[in-house]
Amino acid sequence: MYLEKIRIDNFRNYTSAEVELSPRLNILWGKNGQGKTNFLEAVAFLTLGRSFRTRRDEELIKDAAEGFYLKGEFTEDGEDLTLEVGNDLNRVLVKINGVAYKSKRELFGRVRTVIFTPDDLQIVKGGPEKRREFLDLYLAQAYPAYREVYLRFYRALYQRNALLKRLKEGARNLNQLEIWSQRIVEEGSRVILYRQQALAEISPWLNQYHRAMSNQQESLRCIYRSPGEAAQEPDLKQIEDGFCRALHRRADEELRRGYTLVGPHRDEMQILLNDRWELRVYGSQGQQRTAALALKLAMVDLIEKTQGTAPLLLLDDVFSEFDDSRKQELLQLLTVGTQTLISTTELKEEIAFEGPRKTFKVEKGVISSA
Amino acid sequence: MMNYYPKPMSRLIKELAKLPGIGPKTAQRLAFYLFELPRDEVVGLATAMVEAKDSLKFCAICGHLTDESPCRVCQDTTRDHHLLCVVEEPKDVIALEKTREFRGMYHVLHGALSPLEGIGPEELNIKQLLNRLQTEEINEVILACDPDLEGEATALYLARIIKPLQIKVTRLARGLPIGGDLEYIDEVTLGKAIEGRQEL
Ligand SMILES: [Zn+2]
Repeated sequence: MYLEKIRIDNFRNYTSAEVELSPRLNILWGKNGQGKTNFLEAVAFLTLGRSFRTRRDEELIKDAAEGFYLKGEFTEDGEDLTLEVGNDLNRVLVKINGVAYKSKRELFGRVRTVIFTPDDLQIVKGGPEKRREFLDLYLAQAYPAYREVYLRFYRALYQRNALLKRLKEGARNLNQLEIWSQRIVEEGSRVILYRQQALAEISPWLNQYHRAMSNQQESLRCIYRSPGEAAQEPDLKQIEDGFCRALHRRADEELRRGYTLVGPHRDEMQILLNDRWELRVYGSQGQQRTAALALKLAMVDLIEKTQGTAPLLLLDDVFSEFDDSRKQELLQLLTVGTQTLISTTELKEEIAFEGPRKTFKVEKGVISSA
Repeated sequence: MMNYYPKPMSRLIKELAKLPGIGPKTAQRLAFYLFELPRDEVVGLATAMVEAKDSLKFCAICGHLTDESPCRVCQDTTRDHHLLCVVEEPKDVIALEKTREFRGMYHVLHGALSPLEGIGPEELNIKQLLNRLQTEEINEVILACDPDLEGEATALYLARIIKPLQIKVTRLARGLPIGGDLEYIDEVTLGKAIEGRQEL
């Protein structure tokens, strides 16, 4: 699936723009603060149903406008898909192939999208929640059932936390606590299994991308850390048993603190350099940034494999910290069948790319062919 | 907006807006609609509302919505009084009755376990259920809670407390859409689910 045409009205600094894109490489070129990231944000909003920069949609509305409107026309093998989304005086408009839907959530998963922004350094450098968020966003796109399992787990978790809070405040009903423990173990173990399987699956790609971008110097590996781990091969029964044991171990502490201390909402994805060094602690900023990009590129492969079609790839300001040789490597890596949108401040004529490409100039919220 | 209307109108709008799913705009539209209706139709509606409120109650035995207690199902001697189906809401009884597959008795819990909403076992019609299981001759309990997270937790909880009473406990067959609401599941699917119920 690729984005043929996008319309952007009253979104961030765009008043009205309509752009036809190349099915392969698209370069958005312009100085900082002109609207390159806003353009990528619009594409992401259409396909994910939300912004990667804010949770408050009102922020996306252009100053003095009453609402924004986005329309994307996608196509693949003669099959067309039109996504529309708008926010007008806090009313949400969502249309898929012209049919209205109530929630922006409906947009998610129709067209898969992988985004890389400079903030993604935090996936490697930040707290464990950043890595869990990363896994959840892309696993939900790679495995449509993951989203359902994940939502069910969180619902069970909120219920269990509400009960633990009441128990902490003196309510007595431990019988019911066992029921909710069983629910989070059942749903949560599936979440863990999906995450472990995904990490096993992306492992060769991840390593390959990181090696290519580090002049074949370094290897990269991710390990899923969960109280239920131990098995070499991901196995649901073993995960459930480990989860149960960990819950039992911390039962008293949970009652004292009034919330759930064990589960996929507390798990960690460890990123190791050369099988040894934890990149979060020991990596240089350059290594961390390369690893974050390698993780995103590996997700492109995973989604292509599970969904049979490559996702859109949005790369915001990806060149800025790479030297020329790494830029070449990067472009080589991107010469797969993926529609790619890259924003950059430098337009070097030597951006070597075989295949269809378009270059756009972005200036003060106006986008034009360059 | 309210201040621009004469008092009786703004009061009507205010009352209508309290109804679930009715926002201020819809309330306004409904109020104008009611105003334009012939008087006897408005009286008919108002009387229906008051009469329903005055005559409806929950059955003292099963908790189903009824105008006489015990309800017609509980009074029906042609039904199987050894078979008890536990549901969350009165509307689930209606849905199961429509299938015509089930000829046993009902017990309505009036909700499902949900700590988030402060609903624990004490808030549900469970004490009365245990009372019935100990005094009536019931051979089998079918747990027909909604197939969502809260419904499944409730069924799990009930299975645990019923098991020691040496009564057979079954659940509606899987294959019901997950996260669904029992009343929205079509009659054929629901009928099959009763037929294919599984022991816990
Ligand atoms: Zn009754």
